Amino acid sequence: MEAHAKSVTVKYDMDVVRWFTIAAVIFGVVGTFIGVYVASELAWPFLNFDMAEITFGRLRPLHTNAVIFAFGGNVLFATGYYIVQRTGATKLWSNKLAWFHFWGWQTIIVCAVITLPLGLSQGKEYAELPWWVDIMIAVVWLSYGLNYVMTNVIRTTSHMYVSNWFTMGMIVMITYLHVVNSMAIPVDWATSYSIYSGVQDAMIQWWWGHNAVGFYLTGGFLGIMYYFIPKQSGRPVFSYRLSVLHFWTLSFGYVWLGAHHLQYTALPDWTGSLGAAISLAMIIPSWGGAMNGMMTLSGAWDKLRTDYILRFLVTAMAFYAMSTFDGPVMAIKSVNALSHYTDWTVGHVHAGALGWMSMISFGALYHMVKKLWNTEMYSDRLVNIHFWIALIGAVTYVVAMWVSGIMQGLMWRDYDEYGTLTYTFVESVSAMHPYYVMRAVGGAIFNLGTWVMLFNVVMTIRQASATRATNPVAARA
Amino acid sequence: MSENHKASGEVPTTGHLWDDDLADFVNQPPKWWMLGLTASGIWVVVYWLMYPAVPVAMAGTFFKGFGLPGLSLHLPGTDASSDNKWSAIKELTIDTQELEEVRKPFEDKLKDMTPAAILADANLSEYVARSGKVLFSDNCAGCHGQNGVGTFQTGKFSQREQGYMAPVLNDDDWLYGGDINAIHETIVGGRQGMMTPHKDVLSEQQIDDVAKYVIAMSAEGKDAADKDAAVAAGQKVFAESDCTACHGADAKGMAAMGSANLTDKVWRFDGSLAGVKQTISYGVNAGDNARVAVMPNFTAAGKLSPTEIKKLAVYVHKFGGGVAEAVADAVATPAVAADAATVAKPVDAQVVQAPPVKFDYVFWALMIGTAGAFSALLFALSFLFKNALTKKKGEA
Amino acid sequence: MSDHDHIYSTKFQDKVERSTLVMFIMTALTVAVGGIVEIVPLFYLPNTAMSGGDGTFNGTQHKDLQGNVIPMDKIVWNPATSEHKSMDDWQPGDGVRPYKPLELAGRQVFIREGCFLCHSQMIRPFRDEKDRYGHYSIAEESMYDHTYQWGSKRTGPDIARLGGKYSDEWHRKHLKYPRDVVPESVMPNFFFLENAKVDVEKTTKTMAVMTKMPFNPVPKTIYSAEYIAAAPEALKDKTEMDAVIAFLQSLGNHVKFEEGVNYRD
Ligand code: HEC
Ligand code: HEC
Ligand code: HEC
Ligand code: HEM
Ligand code: HEM
Ligand SMILES: [Ca+2]
Ligand SMILES: [Ca+2]
Ligand SMILES: [Cu+2]
Repeated sequence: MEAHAKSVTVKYDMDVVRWFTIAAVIFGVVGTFIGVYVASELAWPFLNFDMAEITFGRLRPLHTNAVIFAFGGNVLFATGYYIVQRTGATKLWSNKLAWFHFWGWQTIIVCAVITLPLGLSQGKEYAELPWWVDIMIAVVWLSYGLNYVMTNVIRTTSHMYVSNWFTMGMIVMITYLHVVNSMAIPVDWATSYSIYSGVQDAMIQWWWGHNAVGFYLTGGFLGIMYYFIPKQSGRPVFSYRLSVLHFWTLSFGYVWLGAHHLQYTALPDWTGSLGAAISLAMIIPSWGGAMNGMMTLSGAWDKLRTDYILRFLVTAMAFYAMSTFDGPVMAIKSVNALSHYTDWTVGHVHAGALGWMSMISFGALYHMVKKLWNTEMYSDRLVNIHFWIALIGAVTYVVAMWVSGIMQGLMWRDYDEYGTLTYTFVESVSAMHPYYVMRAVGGAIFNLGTWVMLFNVVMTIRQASATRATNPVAARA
Repeated sequence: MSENHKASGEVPTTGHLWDDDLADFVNQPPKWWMLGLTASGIWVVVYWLMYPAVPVAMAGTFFKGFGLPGLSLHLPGTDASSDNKWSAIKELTIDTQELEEVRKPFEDKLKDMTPAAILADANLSEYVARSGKVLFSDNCAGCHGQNGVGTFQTGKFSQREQGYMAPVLNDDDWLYGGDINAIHETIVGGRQGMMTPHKDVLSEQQIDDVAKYVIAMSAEGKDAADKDAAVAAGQKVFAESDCTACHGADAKGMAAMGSANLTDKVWRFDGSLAGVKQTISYGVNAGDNARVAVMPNFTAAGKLSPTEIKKLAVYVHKFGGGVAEAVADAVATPAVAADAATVAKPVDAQVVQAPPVKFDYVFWALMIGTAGAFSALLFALSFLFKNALTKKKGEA
Repeated sequence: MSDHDHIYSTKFQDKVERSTLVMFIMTALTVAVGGIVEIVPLFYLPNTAMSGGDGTFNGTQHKDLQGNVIPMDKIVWNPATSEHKSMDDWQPGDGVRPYKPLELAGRQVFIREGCFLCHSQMIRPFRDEKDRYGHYSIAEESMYDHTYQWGSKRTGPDIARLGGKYSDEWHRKHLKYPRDVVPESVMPNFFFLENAKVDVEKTTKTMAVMTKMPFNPVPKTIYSAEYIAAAPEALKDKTEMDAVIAFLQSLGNHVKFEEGVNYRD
């Protein structure tokens, strides 16, 4: 029980975690707001306002980068540094390096906010940022990786906690992906071209694209799940063996899935088959994670009645289970033939992004805010309100896109009894309109929730500083 | 820590402890999960044997599937030779054949028929109307609008471009004549109507006058305009300049050269004063600032086959503006054609609504989509409220 | 405490969990496999259109209906063997060629404006895509596309075979104000492309970079020093709109496809 003894005496480096936390809350608002705007542009194209900088083609990458790297990234780093210290019962290996990481990452975000609307794009989804920002990302990422690994090395607990396995996997994989996929030759400061082309470039891009999802938006967030669900519910993880099995199967299997983004394309048939087979097999490892999270609550289900933070965490697991069912289904050759290129993909993405990744983040952030500022939330009711807003927003969005995606796919391939195509392309475009509106509304609802959170967190911190001033004992988390 | 950990009874934790109270039970993963994991492994292997999946350069195998005899997927109705193993392209061949069978009887007939004969054959013309829709939308609608309603450019970024990009095809006002053969000829060979610029021939005042006269003719018909004192100056210019050479003394246009009828309410380009002056000053297809009016030659571009062009001619004719065959002969004489044109239907709807999507597809899309989402929601909620509503178990 | 040293998994797993280094190495190995298996073969196995930049290929070949090999220079333009020797003489059907300077400049604009987020350039071998867009795409057609642009979403239609479908004039009008020509469109107005001139220097530099690519470079016989030197002339006074249109018009008609041939095997 040496760990137990130590953890009470260790002084953690939590300032940087506080800052990452605040950044995460802010970028949750920003990223989803841009999402709402982008969605509205598709519903009401006049919103492009004839300004190059805010046309759909330039703003969409800003949305994806903002939610993935600014919101998702800050959540990952806040929780990562929080978890690794507490489960290792040690301070950070280097607090300075962590601050470098913090400011480096925010600088990268600022660069993204400037360059993407200017149209600096490498033309690869989620990897649009210009080559010199890629270099900055590599440097900052490695500083994170080094600090994280070394903090594990100096930990005082005997075993690495399961969260840290996932984070370690993420750090290694993202390093591979980022380095290989960003290989490009610059033409000037603004523009560069991938050293790969055609078929090879496509495969490398989706090896990156899928695993950014698999290791960053999923692996990293599973690490979050493994810490915060047991913590918030006060229950041990349901099954250690499940953790072991699903960690390794997921890490091994996910890497193969990139090829499911390229089925029926000009790649040789074998690539799609490799990806499709393992994609389906990935339901089980994924559900292993989902179950391990949910079953952790067995015996504590009643807590959901009063603990709103736990609601976020558990709902996230339900959405995780759902989107890791949706995804494998879409990877089946015949389903992908329908779903690829349609809004179904977008629905799937946001089931994962809104339902899983955002929900787990919200839960974790609320938990951390309380701990980091050593206080209760300013308003628990607002947490509950946020929960329902987020749930309704996410479901509205996802339903809209599933319906529109399936309809789009069916319209494109429909033949009438004379053996001729039934619908023109523009008919499918105008048929999407109601769903684009519905998506924008769902997104706006979801975004409203993030404002509620921002308000609640700000008020909580203010309240905490007020009490801290009068009660210095409470100052340390 | 403690109470929590013992709460579920006999199952111990691994004994490791992190951050005061983090631990993990040594529960076995559920049986179904372990079975699923094994089944998944088997599934992967079987799938890889059935479909091409082995990226190794073994002669003839690496795209066609590794193919243990009897296991690799073969095309339906073929023998099990390695040539018949599944591939995306072979799947396409089979799917396409299915379609060809439906189309063949129609296509075979269309090959040797004239557009007029197709139009006369109710069954065939229905087939053509169906297959013409996507053909038209993909090749023609960009200029003529969906269903031939025309595409009116708002001239948002250049006044010069205000007006219809190409003639409206669902009215009965035709530049080149509205019988099926004239329409067919247009698509076969393309068109490029020409109107000379008049900015150097006429003074600004004259252009202004004649433009007002043209507008008056359209508003009230030629007879009324001729009697209108206010536009008398314009009438004079019109009669004395070269306008009548192309638009005819009656200003009703000539199908032979595709000049516009100026006495109906249908504007080929734009009927505002500025628009009309623009046309008169700079002409059509006549260089700088002229209006551009090129109907591409779809035969030369190799984009459409003769049969497809026939289909389009029939399809366009069926928009409703097509002139009936009986009138067709008379079309050559502008006077008669113009009579038909004076009753031109006004074109008001710019945006055609997509025809209602076939019920069954909306239905299925809605069913699958909503069922999926709601099962997700229920899934989420059932976890939220499971046991939460009933009495908790386990813990005290 | 009694349980503390009991191992509930395997000895090795326990070791992995105890040692940061072993965990690091194990994850690094585990996550490397899938990528290697799927990516590396694409660089040497046939039918992935990997060229040596000198008319040679990684064994890529297609067979006609009689089973005879279709020579690769029928699929990929090779000035050495083609009857059309220069980029300007090249005719649709002569085989895949690199982009002309103006097209290359247009491609940069295409990437910059994020067109690929709405338009795919990859026709799959399905009958409806054949009817709607044309022959399915093949690997060779994007071999000169450094930063491939296949896209993953069709908010607008596929444009892999767009070349020659509309007139330049139509494109100009459509790009400036899409809802003028297609009222239902949700595409943004790109009229501002008309206000900017193409970046000549960037384009010539891009051409030079394309010849230096480690994989699938543009052959130096095609982007010769003289050809690159002549590029500024071809780009003179051209707007970005001209460039995008040139790019769009270059898409999809390079290869002359024979009916019934399997171009992916
Ligand atoms: C690039 C734009 C463009 C496209 C694409 C186009 N057209 Fe046209 N079309 C025109 C223009 C411009 C005219 C008028 C030509 C003139 O004034 O000489 C025209 C004229 C016509 C006419 C004669 C109208 C009349 O009043 O006599 C018909 C019929 C026609 N087009 C049918 C078609 C069909 C069918 C297609 C598709 C296969 C098509 N067009 C594609 C631009 C286009
Ligand atoms: C060389 C033959 C020629 C001459 C001369 C000519 N026109 Fe035209 N005009 C045309 C043709 C052809 C068109 C239709 C162009 C098209 O649709 O492609 C046209 C179209 C027009 C239109 C546009 C009608 C509309 O519906 O938008 C106006 C107005 C017009 N002419 C007025 C005049 C006047 C006034 C004169 C004399 C000053 C004149 N034209 C002389 C050939 C001529
Ligand atoms: C918001 C999504 C969006 C963006 C961004 C976009 N488009 Fe489009 N595009 C569409 C839609 C929807 C259509 C179909 C309706 C239409 O023809 O306008 C379309 C149609 C087209 C067409 C006609 C294709 C055909 O075969 O009819 C071309 C060409 C085109 N776009 C080029 C571009 C270029 C070049 C860019 C970037 C500069 C671009 N698009 C950016 C949505 C988009
Ligand atoms: C208010 C909430 C949000 C709204 C309204 C929204 C809206 C959108 C829209 C309109 C698109 C473009 C889809 C298209 O091209 O048709 C998009 C793409 C995307 N969004 Fe969001 N979004 C939201 C939140 C998020 C969050 C939290 C994430 C977290 C990761 C996310 C990740 C993505 C990704 C990865 C894509 C690209 C999808 C693809 O390429 O298929 N979004 N979003
Ligand atoms: C086992 C789990 C999963 C599988 C097998 C899977 C499978 C798929 C498939 C088949 C596609 C569509 C590819 C296409 O047709 O273009 C896709 C797209 C996508 N998925 Fe998943 N998915 C899984 C889990 C997730 C999760 C949990 C998330 C989110 C957090 C996610 C995010 C995405 C994104 C962002 C895309 C869009 C890629 C693009 O830009 O086109 N996926 N996934
Ligand atoms: Ca007309
Ligand atoms: Ca995408
Ligand atoms: Cu994927």
